[in-house]
Amino acid sequence: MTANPRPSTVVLVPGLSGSPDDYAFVHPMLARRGRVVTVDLSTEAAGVSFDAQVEHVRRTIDDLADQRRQHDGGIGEQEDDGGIGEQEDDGAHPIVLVGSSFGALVATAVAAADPRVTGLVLLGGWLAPDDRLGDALDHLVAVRERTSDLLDAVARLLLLSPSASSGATPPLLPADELTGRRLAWARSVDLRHVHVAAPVLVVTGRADALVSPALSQELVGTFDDVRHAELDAGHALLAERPAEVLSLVEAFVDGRLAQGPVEAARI
Amino acid sequence: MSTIPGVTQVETVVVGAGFAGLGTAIRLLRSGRTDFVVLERGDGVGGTWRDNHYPGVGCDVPSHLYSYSFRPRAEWSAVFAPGEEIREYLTEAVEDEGLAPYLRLGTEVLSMRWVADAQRWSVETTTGAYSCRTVVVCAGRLSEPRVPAAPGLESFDGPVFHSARWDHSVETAGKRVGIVGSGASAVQILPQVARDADSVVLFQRSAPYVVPRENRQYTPAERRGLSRVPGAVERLRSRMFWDMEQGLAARRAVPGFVDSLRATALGHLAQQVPDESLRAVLTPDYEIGCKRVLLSDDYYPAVASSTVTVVPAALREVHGSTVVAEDGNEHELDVLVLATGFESTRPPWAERVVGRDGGTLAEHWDAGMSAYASTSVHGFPNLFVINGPQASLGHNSAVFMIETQIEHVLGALEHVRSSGVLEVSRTAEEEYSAWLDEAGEGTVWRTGGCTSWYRDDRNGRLTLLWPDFAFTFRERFGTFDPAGYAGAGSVLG
Repeated sequence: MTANPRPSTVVLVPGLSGSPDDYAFVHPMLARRGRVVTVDLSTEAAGVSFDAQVEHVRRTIDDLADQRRQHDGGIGEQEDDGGIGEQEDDGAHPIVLVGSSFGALVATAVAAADPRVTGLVLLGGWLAPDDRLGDALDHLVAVRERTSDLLDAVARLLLLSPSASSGATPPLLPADELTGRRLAWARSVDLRHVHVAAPVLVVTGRADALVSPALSQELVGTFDDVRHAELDAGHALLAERPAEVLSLVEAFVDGRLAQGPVEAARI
Repeated sequence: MSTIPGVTQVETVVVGAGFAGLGTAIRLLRSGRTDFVVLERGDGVGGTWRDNHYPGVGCDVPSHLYSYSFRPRAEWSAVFAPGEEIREYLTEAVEDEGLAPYLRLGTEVLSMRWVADAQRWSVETTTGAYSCRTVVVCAGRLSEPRVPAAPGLESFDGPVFHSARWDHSVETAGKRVGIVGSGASAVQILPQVARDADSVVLFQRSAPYVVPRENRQYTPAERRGLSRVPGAVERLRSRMFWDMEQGLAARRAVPGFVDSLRATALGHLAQQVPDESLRAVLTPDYEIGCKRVLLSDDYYPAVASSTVTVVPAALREVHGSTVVAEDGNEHELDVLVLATGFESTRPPWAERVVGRDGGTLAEHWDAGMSAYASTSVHGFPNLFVINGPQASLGHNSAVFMIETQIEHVLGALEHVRSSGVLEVSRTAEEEYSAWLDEAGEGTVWRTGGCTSWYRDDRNGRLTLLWPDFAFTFRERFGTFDPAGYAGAGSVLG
């Protein structure tokens, strides 16, 4: 659907897996009405520290701005007919950053330091782990190190709600070394001091076994310009309710969500 | 306004008493409106679910989702309840909601004509005339059986009937039965008929994709639990809806998703049909999703049984009891079932609607149906069509779309009450169609290489389909906005 394309580019940051596969559904569906880029944090090239992963996302945004300048106001085949030029001829290229789980930490850190980010979506996010989340991350690290063949099964139990469909799906957490590092970074990073000026959408899972309601509330309470939605799902919102997440992200990107509690279509 | 003797004056005439018409009536009544009637040509309510009572009839959307959000039902017997249960659900809705006084059964609309001087619709029916300010057409998408134009069909020696006009007085047990068509109805009928027929010949013009149905009964404990725990039905329904929304990715030909759906269907075929040559006949030659993807666990085993012969050809002609297929082969049959679908892209009722300029709606739709917000047509003021053009889905529940349209129409009816005549501009209608054409580009419905009832063969356009998510339709059109009726695309974004 290229009619009425979005003026902003959406940048998607994956979760603990670091893999763009997290957005296998959301990315192509968002792309039907505008430019979407999914960052790959699953490779060594994406950095060897939390800060390096943040830097990797920031550079992706730099690249987008460069491409935009080169295209003289139109960045790509999906946005050539929507009057983008007249809205943004001053070099401003709005970016909506979407981060899931660990990726929400990365996205928050980027958004706090980069005024080009004009919107931030956090899926199953938090700012700093509490005891419960710390324990869960520690256990996942231990399972990966000691019985890596069980990691996916354990991750499934922890990250999906009991109502999730039991069909075969790709692994939520690959048992590789970089996943181990991301788990460790998720354990140690503390973003409670950050300030994000851009509008924020916080999406949480009612049955999230990792992120407690208190942690989610802290997240909602941190930002000045925030709307928040709670889905009937566990931590892995993208695995469990991808279409509902998509509907909220689209509504947010289009500026259709007022501050406060929001919800997707009532069924 | 003068009152003409014998003409019943009402604010709103609703045409049709299926899901759309009854839903409209319920919402009208619940919002305190009593100045309407529901005209129904049949002798009972239920629409599709009244007409289709063939053996094995069922819906391919789970019942908790294929029902009104404002009438949740914890007692559905199965994930996919039988068609009869869906009909009962609608009958029960009429009783519970007190709709009977507003229903006019056995009343067929002969014509609907816009009277400019009075700014009202004049509706002629088989049981009397009505004059009304607004009309809501809920005549159904699958209500006019399509009968193949095979010469000699009417002179077939044995019983011949359409699947939506099943003749239960005809015994198929021990008989040589022909089933024409291999769509959603045939896939349900064939396993039932093949159980005790002497033989079944299936005339298959093009093979459908079939995926596992995996239906199951809900246990009494599950049903009682659903009814006792507040919000349980709503949560189940919501989960079903959002799961089904993911199906759009395959329809938009997103590689991983369309590949996975195709692999599921072809894997189902391979597992259930070991014979290679039969499997070849049952393998579709177009992309999955282009036609409706069917759900069945007993179709392939029935087709593979010794009772059934698949003829990979349409019907050519009929002589006495001899039925000739397009491949030239002749088959001696006792009973002929036409599971050949419905006139969905050219609804016959549109010939009976005369608009502001004196032309019929069928003429307006001569090159294919269109309607702003899938609901309102230029030249036809104060008339709203539910479940008509560009409102069907290939991946989710029709009832969700119907409910969305009902809410839109209720807003429009209030607008007419307060502000007078409402007519969509030509610009708005054309912009909407152009926008949907663009949205449908790249989907399997356009590129999948099939002919289907989603696509109008007069213009190649997807005149029946809303080619996007169900939720986007609700976001954009679930609330009536008069601004959109003027045009300039303000609500399309």
